[in-house]
Amino acid sequence: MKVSKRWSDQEIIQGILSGGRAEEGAIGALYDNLYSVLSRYVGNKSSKTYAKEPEDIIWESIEAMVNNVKEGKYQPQSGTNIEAYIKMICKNLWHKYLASETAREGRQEQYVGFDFEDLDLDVSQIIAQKETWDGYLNIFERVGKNCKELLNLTFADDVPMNELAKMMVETGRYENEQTVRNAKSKCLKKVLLEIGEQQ
Amino acid sequence: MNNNENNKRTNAKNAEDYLANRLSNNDTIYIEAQINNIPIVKVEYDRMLLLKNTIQRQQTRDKIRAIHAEKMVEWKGENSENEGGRVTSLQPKKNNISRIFKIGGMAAAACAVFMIYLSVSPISTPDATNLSERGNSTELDSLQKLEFGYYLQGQKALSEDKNQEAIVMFQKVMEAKNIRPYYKDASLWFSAVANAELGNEVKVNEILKQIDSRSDFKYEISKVDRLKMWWKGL
Repeated sequence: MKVSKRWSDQEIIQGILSGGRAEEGAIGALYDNLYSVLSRYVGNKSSKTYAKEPEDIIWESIEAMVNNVKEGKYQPQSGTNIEAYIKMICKNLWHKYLASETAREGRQEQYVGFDFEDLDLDVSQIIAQKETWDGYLNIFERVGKNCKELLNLTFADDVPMNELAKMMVETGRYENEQTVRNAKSKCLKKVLLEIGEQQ
Repeated sequence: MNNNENNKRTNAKNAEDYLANRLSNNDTIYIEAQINNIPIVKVEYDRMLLLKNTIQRQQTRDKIRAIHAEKMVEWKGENSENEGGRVTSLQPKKNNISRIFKIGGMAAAACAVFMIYLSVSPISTPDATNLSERGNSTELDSLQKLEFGYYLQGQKALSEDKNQEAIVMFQKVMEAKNIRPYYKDASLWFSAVANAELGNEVKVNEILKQIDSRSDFKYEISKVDRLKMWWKGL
């Protein structure tokens, strides 16, 4: 592993909040600083093969951390440093996953070593919110490539409708601007309906 | 389209503009009043806000997964480098006179073939599959993907001998705000190629001078392609 300058917690938070390349740098730094600790942790917990890899738990933990920073739910001065915070999320996500797998397999015993009463209130909220968001993300995952592209451009890149229609026609994705408008309207209607049903 | 459907579209458009901060102060006040006073508008707005947040979370997730995959590849590569490997050295065989003549003859023949190749073969463009894969990469956001679409259209037009259309598309890439400098520089080179095909000698020379004056030019032009451009009489 290349030895690079270790980012401080403050630098990581600043990077995440800045977005763009700075955010990518901060996420890369989280991997450099914590990956080996987290992979040793989740890798040693079970010799069984599950649908979800320990690797998945690692990126999900980092994702939860990044989202909490963006939403102001993690403050560096709250007493817990980033390493301890992510380790706590990772531990709980992994244990919860193992417990649900054990239950799914119909076995009676609880996952050894995991006591739900130990679950920190803050972390239990993080996990509950993650599950809710995963539901919405699943809706978005299922909408199809073209619909996803239209929605991404509208809501993530804030491209106005007339500009979007023009770009779509110019790049040969749609025949004319009206078909773009109809496709977006249909797609938006469907997604908002599904979101409403899940709320 | 009936009135109800029209109203829904207008509400949706207003909510989109409001979320993107595209409204004037007066319109913002009007929309906020509607959100606060008309339950159906509030429901619509709340769902749209939720969708916007979901999409932003999806982008964060894509970014993290791309970095995750990148780190895995980087570390795997470093581990295999560190493992080391035995290099089998290739020893040249003993030379003799007849072999030298034979090689000399082959070199002359190869030279002639190479000259024919330079004069008839087109200047290379990136592999199409490779390009569309890059265009689908999770590292690119939607706007980058769309602007990358101009680049793909330019390449397609160039390969189909629609050189004027290619020049227009490459110009759009060069004016794009979100695409990487690599593609802008590649577009500059390919617009020279398209102009060369059209026989616009002055324009080609102008572009080549521009490329030569840049020390930070990102697109690597192969020596063979340079030679082809020169060989074609430009």
